[in-house]
This record gives sequence, C-alpha cells and structure tokens, in this order.
Amino acid sequence: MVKKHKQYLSFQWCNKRKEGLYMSKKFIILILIIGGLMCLDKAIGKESSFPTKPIELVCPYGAGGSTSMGTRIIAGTLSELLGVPVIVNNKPGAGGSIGAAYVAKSKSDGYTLFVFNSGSNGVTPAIRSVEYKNADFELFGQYAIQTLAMVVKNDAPWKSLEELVIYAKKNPGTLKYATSGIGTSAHFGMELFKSAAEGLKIDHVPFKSGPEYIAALLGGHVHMGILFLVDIKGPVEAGKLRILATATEKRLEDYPDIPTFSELGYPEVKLTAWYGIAAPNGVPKEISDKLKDALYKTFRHPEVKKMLIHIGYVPVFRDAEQFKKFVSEEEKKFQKIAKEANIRVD
Amino acid sequence: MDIFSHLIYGFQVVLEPINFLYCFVGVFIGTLIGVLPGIGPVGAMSILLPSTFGVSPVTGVIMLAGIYYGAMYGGSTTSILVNIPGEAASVVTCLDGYQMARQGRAGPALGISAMGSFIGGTFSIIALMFLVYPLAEIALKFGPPEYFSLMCLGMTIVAYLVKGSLIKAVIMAIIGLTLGCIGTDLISGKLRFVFGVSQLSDGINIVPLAMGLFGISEVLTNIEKPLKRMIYETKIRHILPNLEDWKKSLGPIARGSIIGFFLGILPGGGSILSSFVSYSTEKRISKHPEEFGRGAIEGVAGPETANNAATGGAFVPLLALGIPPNVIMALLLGALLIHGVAPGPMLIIKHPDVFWGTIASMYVGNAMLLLLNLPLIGIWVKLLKVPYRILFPLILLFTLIGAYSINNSTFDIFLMIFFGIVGYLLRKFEYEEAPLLLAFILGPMLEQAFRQSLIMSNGKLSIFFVRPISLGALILSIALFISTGITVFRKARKEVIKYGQKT
Repeated sequence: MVKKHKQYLSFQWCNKRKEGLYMSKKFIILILIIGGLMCLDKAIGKESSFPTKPIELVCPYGAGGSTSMGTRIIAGTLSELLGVPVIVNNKPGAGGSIGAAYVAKSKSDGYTLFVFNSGSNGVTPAIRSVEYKNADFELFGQYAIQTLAMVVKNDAPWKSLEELVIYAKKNPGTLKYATSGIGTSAHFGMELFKSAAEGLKIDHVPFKSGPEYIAALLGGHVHMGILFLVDIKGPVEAGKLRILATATEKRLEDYPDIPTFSELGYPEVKLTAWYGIAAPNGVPKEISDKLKDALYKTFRHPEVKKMLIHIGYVPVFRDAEQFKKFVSEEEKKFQKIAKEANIRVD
Repeated sequence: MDIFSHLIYGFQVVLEPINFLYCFVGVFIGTLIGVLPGIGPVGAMSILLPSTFGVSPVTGVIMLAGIYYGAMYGGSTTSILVNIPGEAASVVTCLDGYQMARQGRAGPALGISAMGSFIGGTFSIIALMFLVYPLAEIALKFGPPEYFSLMCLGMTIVAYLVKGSLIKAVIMAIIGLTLGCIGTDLISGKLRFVFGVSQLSDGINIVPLAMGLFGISEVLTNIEKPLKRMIYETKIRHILPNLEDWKKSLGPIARGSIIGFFLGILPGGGSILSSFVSYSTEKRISKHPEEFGRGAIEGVAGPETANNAATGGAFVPLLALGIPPNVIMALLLGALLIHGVAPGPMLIIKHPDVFWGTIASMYVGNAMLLLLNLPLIGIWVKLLKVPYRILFPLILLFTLIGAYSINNSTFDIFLMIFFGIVGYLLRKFEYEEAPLLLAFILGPMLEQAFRQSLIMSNGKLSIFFVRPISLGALILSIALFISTGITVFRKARKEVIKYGQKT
C-alpha cells in the first residue's frame, strides 16, 4: 500500500519530473552546444588568435565620395586576406573629425581600423578644435595619394600661369576662384599659390560640393580653381577645361606637357591628399604585425591598384615608419598654411 | 532614326539575362526601401556597391539606377496609407494621399501614383535620350545668381502648402529657415547654432527632420485614438482609379512630368523640390483649390509623377558632364569609375553600351515597377487592416533604423525623436509641417546662392537683374507674390464683410 502510494506519488512526481526532465534535457543539450561552440571558439582563438570576428573599417566621409569608394576597394581585398568580413562604417561630419574621434576612443584590439587621411588628420586639426590628436593613432601605412592641378575654362584668355598672374596683378579683385568649401584641399592650394605669388587678390567663392564648383567653372561663373585631378579629368579630356599647372613634385605621366608650379617659380605650391590605414594606439604587437602584413599585401595587390587608379587615386605606398614621418611633416605644413591664410572654422 | 537603332542596341544590352536579372533585383530592392519609411536608397546602394565590382559596368549601373527610381516609386505607399513619407520626396504626397485613404480611396491613390510614376519616369527617359547634351549646356548657364532667383520663386510656394492659417504657415517657414541656418556657414566657416555639439556642425539632415515631423508625430497622434482608424479601414471601395480620377489626373501628370524632369537636372534636392513645385502648381491652376489637402487626387498624381520624372533629369549632368547632381548620382559615378568608365561628353562615343544600356534599362525597369506595384496595391490596402498596435512599433523601428543609417550616427536618432515630439506639439496647436520643411530645404540654398553671387559681383546687387534667366525668375516670383497677396486680401475682405453683415 505504502509502496503503491509511493509509486503513485512517484508516478505523479515522475510525470511532473518527466516534463521537467524533458525540458532540462533540451536545456542541457543547448548548454552543451553553446559550451562546445564556446570551446571551439576559444580553441580557434588560441590557434590562430586574430581575427575571429568582423573588422570595422571607419571612413570619416559620406557614402558618395571618393574616400568611401577607396575604402570599399581596400575592404574587399583585406577581407579576403584576413578571412573575416571587413565592414566599412561611414561616419561623416565636421570635416572628418567625428569619424576620427570615434576611432580614437575605440578599443585598440585591432578590430577597429581607420582611413587616416590628409583631411581628418591634416587639414581639419589645423582649422578646427577636435577631440583627438594624431598621436592617438597607430599608423600602419599609406596606400594612395590624390594630385591637384590648377584649371581654367577652355576659352579663358590666359594660356599660361604667367599670363594669369600678370592679369590678376593688373586687375585686382576681378578674378574669383572656386572651392568645395572652407578648409578643403582646393582652398589650401589656392591660398598657398596666392601667398607664393605675393600680392595676388583673387576672391574665394566656396561651394557645397565638388560637382557644384566644377559646374560653376564649366559655366564660366568663376574663373579658376586648384582641383583634384579625378574631378577634372573628364572635362579636361573633352577640351572644356585647361590645366595651367600641377601642384605635384614631378610632371604627371598623363599630362607630360603641363609644367608643375615649382618649374614656374612657385616651389611652395606642392599639395597632395593622402590616404592610409591606422588603428587606435596600443594594438598588441602580434595583431598589428598580422594587420600590417595583410594591409601591405592589399596595398600592393595589382587589382586593388588598378581600381584605385580608376577612381582617380595614385597608388603610392609608404610603410608605417615612412608614413609616420611624412604625416608629421604634412601636419606642420597644413598648420602653417592655415595660420598664414587665416583659415578657421569655429 | 539613328537614335532608335542605338536604343535597340541598348535593349539588346538590357535583355542579356544577367542585366535583366540585375535590373529586376535593383527595382525590387528599390521598391522595398522606398516602402520602408526612413530607409533611403543611399544606404542600400553603398552596401551593394562592392557587388558591382565583379560584374561589367553597365550591369552594375543598371542595378544601382533601378534602386534609385524604384525607391521613388515605393516612397508614396506609406505616405498614402499611414501618413508617413517613405522618402523625403514623398512628403507632399501625405497631404492629399492620406486624406484619400481616410475616405476609403487608398486604392485609387496608390494606383494613380504608380501610373503617374510610370508615365513621369518614361517621359523623363525619353527627354533624357533626346535632350541630354543640349540640356547639360543650358544647365551650366545656371550660376549662383540664377539659383538665387529660382529659390525666391520657390519660396512663394509656401503660400500654396497652407490648409489653415497663413500666419501660422509663415511662422513655420521662419522656423524652417532658422533650422536651416544650423551648421557651418559656408562662406566664412563660422559655426552657427552649434553650441559645441560637433554632430550639428554640418547642419541637420533632412531625413531625421522629416521623419520626426511627419512619421513619429503621426504615430504619437494616432496612438491617442486607436479606435478612430477602424472607421475608414472598412470602407475601401475600389482598388484602381476610375475614369473620373483619370480625367482629373491627366493634366497634373503631364505637368508633373515636365516640372520633375527639369528640376531634377539642378543639383541639390531636385526630386524633393519638384514634388513641392508640382503640388503648388496644381493648387494654383485648379478650379477647386479648396479641395487640396482634403483628398484631391490631383495633389497625389502631380507630385508623385514629378519626383519620378526627376530621377531621369538627374542623369543629365551625370551622363553628359560627369557631374553628379546628388549623392545617389555620385554613387553611380563611383560604380562607373571603378571600371575605368568616366562619364562625360565622351561617354556616348567611348562606351555606347553603358550609355544606351542604362537608358534602355530604365524603360525596362519602369515597366517592371508598374507590373510589380499594381498587384501590390491590393496587398498594401489590406495592410490597413493590420491592427495599429502591431503596425506602429514596426513603423517606429524602421524610422529609427532609417535615421541611424544616414550617417551611422545615434545623434540623428535622438534628433528625430526630438522633432517627433516637436511635430506632435505642432499638430496639437494646428501648425502645418510642410512649410517648415520647404523653407528648411530652400533656405540654405537661397542664402548660399545670394552670398556667392555677391562675391562674384564684388557686392553689387545688380548682378541679379542683368542676367536674363535670373531677372525672369525674379519678375515671375514678384508677380506670384503680388497675386497671392491680392487673393488673400480679397478672401479676408469677404470674411470681414460677412462678419460685418452678421453683426
């Protein structure tokens, strides 16, 4: 009886327990799977350490621009080499300083990378107050530069830079130059030229975007500009704009007949935009070595180079040391121009 | 005849299986993101950009272009059904589209916007095909002074967006102008109304502003009165527009096509602006302007046609000059450049497959969109039967994602919520949001063009009067201003007389 009762009881218990057991079986299996996966993850982690999850590559400019295009080209090949997705995160705003500040504050575990460039890390710190400094970043290397050249409309009366300078000196205040805004490469370039050609009075007409000021140039509403070659290549080849001088070290391969500013007696007028990859300072050495290796392979990849050339970049490789030295020189140069021409955003 | 043989060649390009497939994928994704409130084409296009690296340039452009005009098609859906614009360009569609839906005419509203979009889209492709080069030359004649005068003309539109009090509308427009001032001053580099918040230093983005004012505030007002929605859910009459609807809409569609195409060529918010201009034009020439804002089908047909026709116009500067008039076109430019194809005057000679393939794909894509959208109307209308307690969290979710995706910035989410609350209060006090948004779009462009012109002329105001296009636009805007003033005055006098007779 007692036994029976017990059985009955236990049966009831069992029944309840059965449910519980059943549930807990499922639960245990789940735990085992999760635990197994975690071990697996750890095991993989121990074997190959880095990377085990997607890498974020921050581009401090918007989705439509050429910096973003270049970033996506790099991300594609880098992702293949590292075996994890490299996700481009566009964080535009305030001359690239929002994206740069975001990265400077990120964890330095190698999973956050940054497109370290002449805008957010050269021009912007020289003209506005920002919440980061270049020492907050560990530079891995540079992959490309963009070149600038001075253009006028094809039917402009000035056939050479000299003629333009003579005209501008005779008629102060009549000539206007266009830029895509305060503190852009175009603005810095023209101010550099104006101070080199002592006493030129050419007024600045800022526009909101590159396309807008090229339209203004093509329409003859402004007279000149020092622009990125990529933006003017089409109109120049179609004979709508004429290049007077390039702001480069040497003459350009594509335009061997066009002199550089230094050949024409303005050696100060040298300006490029540059693009590299960096991470927040303090990445462990083995991770940074691994990243550098993959990045250098990406930068030297012929397919990557080809695509970069197509969007108007000149692939110029600098390793970590060279890039660091170059950046510190550039920093000083941008600060000097900003101070002399009194360019500020505040 | 030559142009037709080129076009046939273009169709041969599109009808290659891979191009046809990518075209469908493009318009399908476009429709989806158009329907989802707040999520715009820029995000989707930049994510899909790398997928075009591996295919031929024409295939990539066909898909990306499909996303763009597909989004313009889908943008009207939520405007009409739930009074929340799917795209910034569909803000105006809310005014009358939603009223139509409340009267049980969601079907005709969706139908006419699909047909209008198709007609506007097709018109703009034809115009693009024949006029791309001459138009690009004319577009270059528009410098800062011309823009200034055009924007003055645009400001007169504010008067036509008003349903209630004109004074309140003017107040809203002034607030819009003020909001437009936030950010870095283009000319001097001074920060205005930024208060040390670096996220504000490029100004407020239109998406969080529009989605807050129209989307969030709509949800907030609706959850106050959950039962009221049931009333108009039940009496959905017919799905497609009837003959009378068509008669009313033909004029607006024709005018919307032309307005949209030409405004689309200009840089900046061409498609948004074109929908505003189309709406005000229809209201201006209508014999029953009092019906606008209360469910006039003309107020849906015109703007929806215009914002689709604007997509074709936007291709003019890109294909003919290599100058992208907006971010979306800049992405398309990138997709071409990466393959070494540079748009510009030489495109048609060097890469005829890209030029004609793109144009032909837009015919095919527009037809696909029509076939895709007409059967969907039935489904969308049924969506109104979904209980609001399920619908509104979804709407909120998508607007939040949309606001974040613009700059990948959480700040924009808070901005949107802030404007949502502002919008809610504005509704409570019967202020209308549309004039605010229009002034917000036009204000910065107006100021920029004005100051650029003055630098060009060394400070002489005469620059606006000596240039013919600018002078013409100014005269037109003064005439419109005076004529509106007279109408308002007459109305007021009538009311005063009425009032006087009563007492």
